[in-house]
Amino acid sequence: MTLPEKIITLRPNLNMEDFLPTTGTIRLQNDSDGKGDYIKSWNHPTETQPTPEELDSI
Amino acid sequence: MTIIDGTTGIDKITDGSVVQADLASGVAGTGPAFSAYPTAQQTVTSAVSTVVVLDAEEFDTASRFNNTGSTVGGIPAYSFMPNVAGYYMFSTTVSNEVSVSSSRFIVITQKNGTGGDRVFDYQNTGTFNAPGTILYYLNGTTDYVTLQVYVAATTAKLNNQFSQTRFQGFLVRAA
Repeated sequence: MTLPEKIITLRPNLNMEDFLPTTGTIRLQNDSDGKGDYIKSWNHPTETQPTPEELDSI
Repeated sequence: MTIIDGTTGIDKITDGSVVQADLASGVAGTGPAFSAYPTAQQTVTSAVSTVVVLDAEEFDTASRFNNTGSTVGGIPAYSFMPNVAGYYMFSTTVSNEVSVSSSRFIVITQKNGTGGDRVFDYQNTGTFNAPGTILYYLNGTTDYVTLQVYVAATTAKLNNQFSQTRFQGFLVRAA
C-alpha cells in the first residue's frame, strides 16, 4: 500500500485533491534521494496528520 | 568606454562604464547553463510529488547541476544551484507514460525545496510530452531549483528518451 493510500485509509474524509501540489493542503513528496515517499507538509484544516505508528500499522 | 590613468602605464576601466556598444558583435554572456535528462524510465508513486531523476547531462557549463541522488557540494539531488546571482529561465519537457488511465499529470518547478509552480497541468489519459517554462531569480549562493512531477494514475511512469524528458536552464540577466 502506498503512502497516499495509507493516509486515505486512516483519514477517509480526505481525497486525492488534498494531495495536489501548490493547491492541496497536504504535500506528499519523494526527493529521489533513496529515502522514499514522505509527508512534506500537512496543513489540512480539520484532519490531523497520522503518526508514524499509525502509518506503520497498515 | 572610459579609460582613466592611461598615461601611467596602468589602464583602468571605470566601474560600470562598459556598455553594449563596446562589445564586438557575437559577444554573449557566459553565465551558467545546463541541460539534463534521465537515462532510464522512472516509476513514481501516484499522488506523490516526485523529483525527476535526471542522471545525465548534455552540458553543464558551471558544474552546478547535481545529476546524482545525493547532495553534492550543497546541491540537493537532481537540482540546479548556480554560482552567479541573477534571473534564470528554465525549460522543461516531461514525457508521461501511463499504461492504465491517469486522471492528472502535473509538472512542477520547485525553488529551494518548498511550494512550487505548476508549469504544466493536464487531466487526461495517454502518453504525451508536457512542456513548460518559468523564470526565477536565484541568489547565486544558496538558491536552487528542482523539477518534480505529480501523477495520479494506477501505473505512473516517466519516459527517459532525451527528446522526451529534459530540464534546461540558463542565466538571462545577472542581478
